[in-house]
Amino acid sequence: MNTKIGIGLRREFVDELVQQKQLKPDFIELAPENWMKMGGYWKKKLRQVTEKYPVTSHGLSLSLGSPEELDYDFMKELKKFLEENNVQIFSEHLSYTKTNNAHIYDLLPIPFREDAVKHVATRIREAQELLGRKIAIENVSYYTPVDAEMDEAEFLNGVVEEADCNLLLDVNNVYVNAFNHNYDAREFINRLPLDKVAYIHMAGHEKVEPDLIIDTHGEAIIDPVYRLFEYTVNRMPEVPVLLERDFNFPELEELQQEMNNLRNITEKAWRKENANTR
Amino acid sequence: MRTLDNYTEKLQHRMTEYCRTGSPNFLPGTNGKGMKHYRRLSFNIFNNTLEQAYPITQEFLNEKEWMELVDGFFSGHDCQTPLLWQMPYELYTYVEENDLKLKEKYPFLPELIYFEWLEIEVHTMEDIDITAEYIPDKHFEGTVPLVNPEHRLVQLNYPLHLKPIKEAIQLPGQYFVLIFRDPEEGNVHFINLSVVFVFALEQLSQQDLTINELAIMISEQFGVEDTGEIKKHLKGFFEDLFGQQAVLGYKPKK
Repeated sequence: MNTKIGIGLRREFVDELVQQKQLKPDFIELAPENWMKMGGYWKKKLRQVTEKYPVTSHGLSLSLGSPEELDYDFMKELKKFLEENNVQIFSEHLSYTKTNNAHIYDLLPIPFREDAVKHVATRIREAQELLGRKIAIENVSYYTPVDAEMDEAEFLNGVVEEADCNLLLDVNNVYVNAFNHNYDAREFINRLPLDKVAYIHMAGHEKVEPDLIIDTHGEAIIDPVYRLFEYTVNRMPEVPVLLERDFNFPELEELQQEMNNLRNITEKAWRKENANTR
Repeated sequence: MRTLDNYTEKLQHRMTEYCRTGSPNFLPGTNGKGMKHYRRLSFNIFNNTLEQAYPITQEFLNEKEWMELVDGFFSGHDCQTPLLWQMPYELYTYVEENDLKLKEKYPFLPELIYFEWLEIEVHTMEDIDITAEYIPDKHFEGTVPLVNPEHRLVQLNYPLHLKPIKEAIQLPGQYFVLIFRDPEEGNVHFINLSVVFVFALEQLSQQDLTINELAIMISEQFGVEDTGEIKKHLKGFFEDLFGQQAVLGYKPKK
């Protein structure tokens, strides 16, 4: 068994990924919006990395939760980019980054409401059709609900079922939301369609106030999040796992150590699972 | 078929309005602390991206002026690009198209922002394939110089490419700059040009011309009779550009 453990591609360590001296991920994930329509130096670097590793892609600006229409020109460019870079899994956030014809580039919380489930699911189905592939929808961290009619798990389940899409399960986001909104993270995990998970995100966060955590991707993963991850992977089939680190970079060995930690946990869980299914 | 209720749509619009303006906008079922963090986080995305794109402008303006610029843009301009790295270009169009107090105080502000954007644009512009066959050498007798296509040719009112900003704004005039990306490392270079060489490069961008032909055109355009002297200068000019990789070689004249 060889669980795939990957890392999010950042410009700060792109050369290291090419040289593979300290970081040895099995795959990389890139945000298409950070690389699309670029030539020159960064295009060369991107090519060097994508020639070396399998690639997944995590979108930022599709804004699947927007009230308005999808941006069809952008979708065409995105499809081309995903094909050119041989992207194996494409994921996007269950949020919106654009309303009133203006991008805001932040992941805003969709109101957990019945009509929003139907609306977002319709948009995801349309996006999947245009891209010619399934999208894995990520559960995002949110810092306030907005006039909710249901809880997050019900909303997430409703969207995944109606859209017939996959799920990108961000375990750190589950931890962050459970802390901020005072619910049980394990119970939340139990309610998710774990058979639909295409891959998992893991990251660090920052506690900015005694009762508020912000999902920063700027710190190391903390033990309670590792424990929630262990709990989760013991309840689901084997999938790739990705480490996200977006700034405040430590020594590269520390990032590799975090990937090793993830590998150790998954190997224990999924070795057991494979033995049981033999 | 419309699947979203007007009410939910309104909630979403009001959420983004709050993030962009910070003006009180009661949203049912929200908590104030979380809302403030969305406002802070979204503003920071704009501020950080613009700081990275425009370090000279940011350093030139005082903190209050910079925040006024970013805040005005964030709240007043509807960003159209889904690519965050292209968003700073929209700051330039916003400053160019709107009557801002800052422009009264600093009339050169749009040009400064544009100049900083140009470096990003040339560095990241999509690769341009060269379809014509050419020889990567500097034999420009009777041949056509091949200009590196990854370039911009611009006119500035201040020598921002030659002097630090505080000195440059004391020297208004007409300046011409060739900004290009070297094909190997992808670094961006700036070359100050005289109007004659700008004319030569513009003519070359429209049709294949030898140095002889260019010299005749320059002679007619600028009323200089000694075409031999013009040829000598053109040859030196293109050889220099070749050395810097702004010219990649030559094509035989058909």
